[in-house]
Amino acid sequence: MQNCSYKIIIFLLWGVIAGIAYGGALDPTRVGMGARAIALGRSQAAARDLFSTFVNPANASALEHYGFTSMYGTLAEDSPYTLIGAGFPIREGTLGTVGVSFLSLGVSGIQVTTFDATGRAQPLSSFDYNNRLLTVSYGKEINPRAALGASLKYFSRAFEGQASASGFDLDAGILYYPQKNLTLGLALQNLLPVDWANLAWAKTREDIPLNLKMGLVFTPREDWLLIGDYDSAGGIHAGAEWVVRKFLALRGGMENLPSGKSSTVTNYSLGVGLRYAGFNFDYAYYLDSLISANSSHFFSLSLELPFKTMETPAILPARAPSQEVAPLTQVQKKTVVITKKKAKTPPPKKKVAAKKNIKKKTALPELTRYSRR
Amino acid sequence: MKRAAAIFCLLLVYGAAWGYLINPQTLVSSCGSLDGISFHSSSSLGEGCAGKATGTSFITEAGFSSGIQTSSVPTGDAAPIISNLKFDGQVILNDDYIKSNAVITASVTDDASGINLSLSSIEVDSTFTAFTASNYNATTGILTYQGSFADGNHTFRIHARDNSGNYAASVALPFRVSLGEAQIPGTVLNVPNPFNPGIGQRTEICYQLNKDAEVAIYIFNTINQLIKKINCTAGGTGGRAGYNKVLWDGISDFAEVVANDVYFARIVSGGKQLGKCKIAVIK
Repeated sequence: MQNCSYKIIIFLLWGVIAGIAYGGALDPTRVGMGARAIALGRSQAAARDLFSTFVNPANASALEHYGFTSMYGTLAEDSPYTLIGAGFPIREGTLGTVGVSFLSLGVSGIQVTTFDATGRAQPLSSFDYNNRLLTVSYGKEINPRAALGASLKYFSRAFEGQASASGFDLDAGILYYPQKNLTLGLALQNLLPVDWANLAWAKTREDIPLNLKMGLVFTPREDWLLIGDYDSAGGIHAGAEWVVRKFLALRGGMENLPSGKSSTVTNYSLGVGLRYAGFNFDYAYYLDSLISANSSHFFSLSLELPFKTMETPAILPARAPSQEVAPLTQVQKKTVVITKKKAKTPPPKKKVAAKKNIKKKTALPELTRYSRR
Repeated sequence: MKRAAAIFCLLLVYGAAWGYLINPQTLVSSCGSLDGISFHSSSSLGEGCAGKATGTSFITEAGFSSGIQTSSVPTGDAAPIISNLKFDGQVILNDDYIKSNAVITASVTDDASGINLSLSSIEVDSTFTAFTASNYNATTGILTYQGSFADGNHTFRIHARDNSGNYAASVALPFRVSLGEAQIPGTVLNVPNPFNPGIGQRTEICYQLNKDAEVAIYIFNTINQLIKKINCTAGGTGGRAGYNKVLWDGISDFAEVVANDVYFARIVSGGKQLGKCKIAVIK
């Protein structure tokens, strides 16, 4: 089975070498899916949360609960960027997890212009632009060390009253766990060639170029997470998360983006995460080092079902290769001991469920408490 | 009584007709295409109609936007012609910005008797400077004025009189000078918008700059990725005080024709954003 994983990785890399292209139509997921990811320098190929499912569909395999999420931000001062998404593990993820998201990016007040008799520009009218993306993802563990996923994406773009286009594309991804505190992720976005799908305008057909995302998540300590991505179309991304308290995480990130054939620009981001029971609130500030007006605020609100209490916290380590048992943290050890003691008397149904839940958590790898959604 | 009334009516009609004929504006507008108080004419009927004018401005085929007023001096000689008024080589419109030391040039010519230097003058904010051999080249008819304007609003006007006594003056042209920080007063627009670089179409990013300044135009895509940077030197295209038009051919710094999308052009000087516009590309 391990050989199988390697073959898949080699196949995907071959696809990258054969087909990577720059330019073309934009994939709006490159803005960053979720405030947490944006705070972490837009690194999410291996982030294993619900938002990341729509970047690397293999991330869906890490979801254990029904999840609903939303995000709002503003690009270029006045262009709203909104995202809603949901994840549905089938039979607690044993049959994989399905994710669905809808992303919308709008630009309003685009002026139609002409020159007047004196040669000065004059506005005639204005129109709006909408860029929408519907994604359906599926991810599943294929063995204790690897998970696969795929996403079908439906793009829709419209210049109001001027032109419109729509089209499909496909993402594929893999997660690989070489050791208990390291996760590698690889995603190939927009695999379909232009003749098969992509954006069909009235007069032209535009390719959404193939993009490679490779990433890793490393957790040197339980309360620290380091994350990084390489994005063939968008440069290098890196971030760190520090879980200060069970309910509080601080984040920082940076990214180095190409700004021309031989130039790059480095941008920074900061963020904070708050969680209580099944609710997660994340905030990110993206600092554009070239133009301060491009700096933006992003907000995410997510919900996991069923609700968790603080005794069975939502901040347990994330899912692991199912046959590898990660060392328990002090908090977990105490919880397990307490549960075992209580288990001597016939437990009520609720507690059986709780115990079951804890057993599952003990099999999780040492990602930080905040790494799961 | 009826006879007296008839005589009175006749006098009225005669008086109205005479009043119409002696009005110099009427005389000039009879040569066609003039309207309002700004015009170019000579003292004789039907001469000197060299362009079209509406309102208070006069526009020649070359786009010169200034008018000439004249007083009627019936000598049989045409009044001086003032044309090609430019500030640092650029035609400006009312209330445009120019730099404080702009060089103003204009063509001032006369068909017969020649320009009388001592009776001709340059008026800046109601201060008159006479034509001299150093600022007026009688051979070429080029008038040159080296500006040294303070921060604020100003008005410029040329008064020319020929040796026959005919008089002409340009329409007073208001303009502005700024010595403060670089700014873009008003909006930034690109023309045409949308545009199609797929067929070689280009768009011009247009804006008024209040002073000469080093300017960079950054063009971002909708995900805030920089795809094009255009540098404009101070005093050059895009960095000149006054109205600027900067061409973009829709080619990114990645040497590709950009995709259908909306792009944000941000005009920056000294690390400060001065203006922005939204450019739509539809191929």
